[in-house]
Formats: sequence, structure tokens, C-alpha cells
Amino acid sequence: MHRLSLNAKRKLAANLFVLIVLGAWVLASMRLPGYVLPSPSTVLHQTIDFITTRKLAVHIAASIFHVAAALILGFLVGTAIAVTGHYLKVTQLLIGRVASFLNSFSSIGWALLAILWFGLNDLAVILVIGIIILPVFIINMQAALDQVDRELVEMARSYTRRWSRGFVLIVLPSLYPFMLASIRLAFGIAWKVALTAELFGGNSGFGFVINMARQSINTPQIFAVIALMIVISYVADHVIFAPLQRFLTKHYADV
Amino acid sequence: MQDAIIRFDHVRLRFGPETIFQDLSLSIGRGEFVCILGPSGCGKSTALRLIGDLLRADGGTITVEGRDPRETWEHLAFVFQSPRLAPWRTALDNVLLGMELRGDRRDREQMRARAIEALDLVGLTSDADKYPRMLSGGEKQRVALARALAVEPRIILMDEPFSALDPNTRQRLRAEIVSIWQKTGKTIVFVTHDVDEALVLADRIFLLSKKPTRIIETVTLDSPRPRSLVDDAGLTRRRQELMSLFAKLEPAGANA
Repeated sequence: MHRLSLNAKRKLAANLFVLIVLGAWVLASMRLPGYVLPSPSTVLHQTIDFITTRKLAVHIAASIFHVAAALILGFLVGTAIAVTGHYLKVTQLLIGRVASFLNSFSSIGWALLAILWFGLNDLAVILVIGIIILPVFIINMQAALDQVDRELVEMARSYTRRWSRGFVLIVLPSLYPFMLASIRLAFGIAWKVALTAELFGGNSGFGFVINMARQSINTPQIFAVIALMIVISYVADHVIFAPLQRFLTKHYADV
Repeated sequence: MQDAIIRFDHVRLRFGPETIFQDLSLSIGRGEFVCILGPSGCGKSTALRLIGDLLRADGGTITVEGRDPRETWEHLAFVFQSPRLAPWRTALDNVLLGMELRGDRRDREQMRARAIEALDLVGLTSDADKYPRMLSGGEKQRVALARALAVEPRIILMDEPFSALDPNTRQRLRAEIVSIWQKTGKTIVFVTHDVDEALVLADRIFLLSKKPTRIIETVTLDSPRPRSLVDDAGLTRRRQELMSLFAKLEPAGANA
């Protein structure tokens, strides 16, 4: 008898599980009203509509823009704060407290404050996402800086007395794998926060669409947004981040 | 002795409560190959760091080419115990790294040519495009040596560069470093805790005591190179003398 490899068995188990869930969904949707649980085919049509209708596709672009802008902002500010804390020891305690504070305050709280301060617009959404992911960058980049090979840094110092040359040629490349790992982690968080931020403080994006759909009890549209968010997250992680991280780990870490 | 390129006059250094050097004086001539030999933890590497301005002495005077090490660090290059290569750069790019760190103003092609020349000197031209993970321990250390040679230093400071290598590679690299020294005429200060290594390589050996460190013996060697400890009666006698002195400093074994 043909025996399946462990890998094939794993894939079979995972695919079977998806089929069972889909089957259960179909059965449940047949018994429940459409506004409670739409059928998978309705959600699929809604999702295709979302992508093909310009009016809705704009919201996909808006959410991607919010997340990307917040990632850039959080990355730049977080890395700058971590670098300051690493080289300017006097600021370490202060930065630790700021990171703890930012880490403990909820995204809804920031979203409400952002509406009061900036109104309902893109800036408010980007700032809310940026503030929530900021501690991810501060904490990870601080840890990354602590792990830079001291022997390499001393080697650099033996060749130059210019701090900037050692930083650009040795420290920065050593941080690349950690930078990407932080971006990858922050990306996942940013998607989740984007929904909340757009729902409360935005006038575009997935969160805004969900809010509109909720008001008109358009459950299939809510499901379509969830499906699209999952697809975007999966594609970004598997097509962009994972291969890039494999490359950076191979080339920039001492393995 | 030739004119002194490095001088220590009554150098003092403390790390917290521990005295490393109480009153260390020595002098190294231009073009000389000097080995600093001593037991583990006696401050051999610290002496190199003082010469290279990676550390400052608490007292006494250190001069390199008659000037304060702060003004002369650009005339030196280090080869450390571990190769310290950037894993994201190829062998050639690691050699270029030394020049880039030093702020070499030559154009890229000239720098590349110089880096290839340095790799050629250490016999690694064919491995120029390999990453450090693709090189053996000996090859990595050769790249580190090429990186040092590429910045055209007047003095090379070598901190137990072969200690982590297997005996065969170590022996081959010793012969190569002597050959490079003879070709280039650079001053080499070589730290080791291996008596045989010092005897094969050096013009002079400074044997250091345990902390607080002082020079307990200076051995001048004039045997022709390449040297063999097997059939050179003079070297064998020196070896016995040094081994008995060294055994008192590091009873566990001088040639570990």
C-alpha cells in the first residue's frame, strides 16, 4: 500500500480541516439568516466585488497606505529612539519608561484621542497605528543593538575613529535581520490596529467600510473585509517578509 | 637595534582594583618582528591595545613613531584572535572594509586592485568571492591579515591570530606571515602564549610575568629563517630556557 510521507499527512490534515470548516459554514449558513451568517459563495462574490469596484478598491489602497505609512513612521522613530538609548546611556531609563507607557495604553484610547486632536482623517489613523507599533520597534531595536558583535565593533574602531563610519559599515548591516523581524511583527499588529483606528477615527480603509457595513447590516461585506485582510496579511508575510528574512538571516547573521 | 618605532616608558595601567602594568618599559625597532610572550591574562593583548590607541595608559609614556598613539593609529592595523569578518561581505569586500573604514579616498577600482593584491599576498585570490561562512578558520584569518595589509600600515599588531587554528594550519600560517614580513618589511608585534610560535617567528621575544606585569626576559634570536626547532641547537637551548621560565608562570603547560 502506498504510504504517505509525514509532510503529505500534515498537508492533508490541514486541508481537511479547511474543508470541514467550509462545510460547517455552508451548512450553518443554510439554517441562519443572511445578515447573521452569509454563505461562502455570497462572501466570495462580495470579495470579488470589493476588488473590482473602484469605490471599494480605494479602501483597500487606503488601508495599505495607512499601514505602510505607520510602519515607516514607527520604524524610523522607534529605531532613532533605540539608537539614542544605546549610545546615550543617560536616556535609557527615560526611554524604558516611554516604551512601557506606550505598550500599556490601548489602541481605542489612542484612536479617541487622535480624533479629538486631529479629526477624522488619514493622519489620525496613521498616528494611532504608529504609536501602537512604536514600542515594538523601540524594544526590538534596543535588543538588536545589544546583540551587535562587540568584536566587530572593536575591529571597526581599530580602523577608524569616525563613529559614523563604524555605525554605517558595521552596526547598521548587523541590524538588518532584526529590522525586518521587527517590521514583520509590527506589520501583523498594524493590520489589527488599523481596523480599530479606521473604525473610530478614519474616513477611509477597511475599518471605515466595516463601520458602514455594520450600520447597513451588510454582513457579507464585513466577511469580505475579513477575507481580504487575511489574504493581504498572508501574501505579505509569505511572499515578501519570509523570503526576505531568510535572505537577510543567511547573509547578515553569523551562521 | 634599529631606531625605535614603539616605546613604552614606565607605563602604568589599572583596571579597577587590579594593577595590570606597574612599570612597563620596552622598545621595538622599525621593521622588527617582536613576539610578546606571556601567561594567559598577563596583559599581552592590553599592551597591543595601548599601542593601537584602543586603550589609554594611566601613567608613563607610550610613543609610536615618536608620537602619542592618538596621532598614529592610522599607521597601524590589527589582526585579532578571531578573524572578525563581516558575515554579509565576501572575502574581497571584507578586505575592502578595512579601507572603507579608514576613509580611503582612492577610487573604487584602485581600492579593489589593492584588495586583490592583498588577497594575493595571503594566497586567497581564488576565494575572493566567497563569504566567510564558506571559508575555513585558516582562510578567514588570512582574509583578516589581507584586510590589515590592504590599509598599508607601517605596524601590524597581531593578537594571538593563530591560536584557534589546528596545528597544521597554524604552522603553515606562521611560515606565511614570516614570508609576508620579509616581503613587506613591516614592523610586526605578535602576541602569543606559545613558546614555539615565538621562537619560530620573532627577532626578539619579550617574556612577560604575571600581573602586575613586567618583562622578565628579553630573548634576541638571530637564527636564519625558515626556522626549525628540531635541528637548530641554539633555538632548542632557548626553548628549554624559555619553557622552564614559562612553566613557573603557567604551570599547566606553555604550549597548550
